[in-house]
Amino acid sequence: MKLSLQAGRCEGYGLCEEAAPRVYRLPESDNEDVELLVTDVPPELEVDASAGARVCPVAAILLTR
Amino acid sequence: MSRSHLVVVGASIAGVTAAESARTAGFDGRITLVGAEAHPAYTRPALSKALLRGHQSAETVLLPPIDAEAETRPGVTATALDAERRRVALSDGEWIEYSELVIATGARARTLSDLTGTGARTGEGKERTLRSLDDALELRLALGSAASVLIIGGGFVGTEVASACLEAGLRTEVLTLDSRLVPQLGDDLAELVTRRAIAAGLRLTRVAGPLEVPPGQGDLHVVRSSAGQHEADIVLTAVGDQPNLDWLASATMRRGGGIVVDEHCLAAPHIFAVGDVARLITSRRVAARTPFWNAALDQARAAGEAIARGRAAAPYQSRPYFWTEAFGLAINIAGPIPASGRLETLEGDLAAGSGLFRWSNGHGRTAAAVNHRLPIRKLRALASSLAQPRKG
Repeated sequence: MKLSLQAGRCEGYGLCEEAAPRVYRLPESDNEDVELLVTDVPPELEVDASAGARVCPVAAILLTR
Repeated sequence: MSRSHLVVVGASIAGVTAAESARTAGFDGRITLVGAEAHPAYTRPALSKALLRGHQSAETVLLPPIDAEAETRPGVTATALDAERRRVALSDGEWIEYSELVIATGARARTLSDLTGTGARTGEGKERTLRSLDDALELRLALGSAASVLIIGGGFVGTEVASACLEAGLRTEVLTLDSRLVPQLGDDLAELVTRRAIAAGLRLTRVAGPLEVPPGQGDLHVVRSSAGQHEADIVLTAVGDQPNLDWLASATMRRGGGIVVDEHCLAAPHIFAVGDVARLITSRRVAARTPFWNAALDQARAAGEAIARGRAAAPYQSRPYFWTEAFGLAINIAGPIPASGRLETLEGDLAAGSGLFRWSNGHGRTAAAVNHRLPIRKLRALASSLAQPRKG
């Protein structure tokens, strides 16, 4: 599973980080996009990665298999 | 039935999250997800915001499909519940048995004829509302060839649509019962949004009493109110939502226009309800429905966990969080609304439309970030101590 951000979509809500802090981290500066802690998602983090992507209000997170 | 079978009725964010959470928490039986729409789950809050304003394709609002091994039944609705025999009837004629049931059937847009005393529409014409992805795509298409729009209702959806319409250069009028847009946000924020809307060219008309809709066929173009006659190329009704409970015959399941659930989102033995249909009962009262994105997520997580772990699961706790985007304002709110009481400016200037603000009142503290990006974690920390984030 691969994880990426759709350019220009992240609005910094932080719901992904709340759902899956092992995969997503909001930077200290509030004006930056979410940081993806992994982009090649290992199997043990796949459920976290998609749970975080699913709660994004602007569907900014792209998952590909 | 030898193996446990979780049946989830409703396949949008609440239903998918309940199924996923049950699986993650250790539920190892079968899962069946029944959903009325042909689309996979999508982000509904984006429909009246980015999707309506932009030229993005429908795919851009779709969410990742369910990961948990599950059978999905798109385009199928539940038509009856037989709680005694633990089974649900489906629109394709089948009865499916469950060991646990999650009701996540959500809500539909309320129409003028749902509102008693506002004048039912007697014609055959379709009343335009905005609730589903298909509604949004149709509305966007229609706006593309229209010059004017009349929106009935000045809540979140009405206000966001009005903003998109003005941005697209349409003559736009909103009819409201209140003197301001989004009154549910509280006086200070409602005033800010309304001021910006008027400056952007919105015609805001306060009406009293019932609206009159002339009988007729085809699309609605004319509405009469206490303020006179209103005409537009497109008329959109945005007067709230109505939970989808019609398929539940039992009165105990639909008390006061919702399904009453406990802190594990349990409504009756083996039956959970989450999202727009659910009303939480506490020792003090039965709360109103909370048809909002985050409430649906939190309830679905609580129900999923309870399906796997029973009473040992973490209970649902209300942690209100809302956002809206209109007239150049992006507003995120943590804590109960309306945000009322004494206004505290933590940063910026509310009249200028940006900064961080907080209100203290009888039911706690509410924080709002206006045109100021702030993750939910930080906004919650600024808000009520009654809404501590749950670990996990």
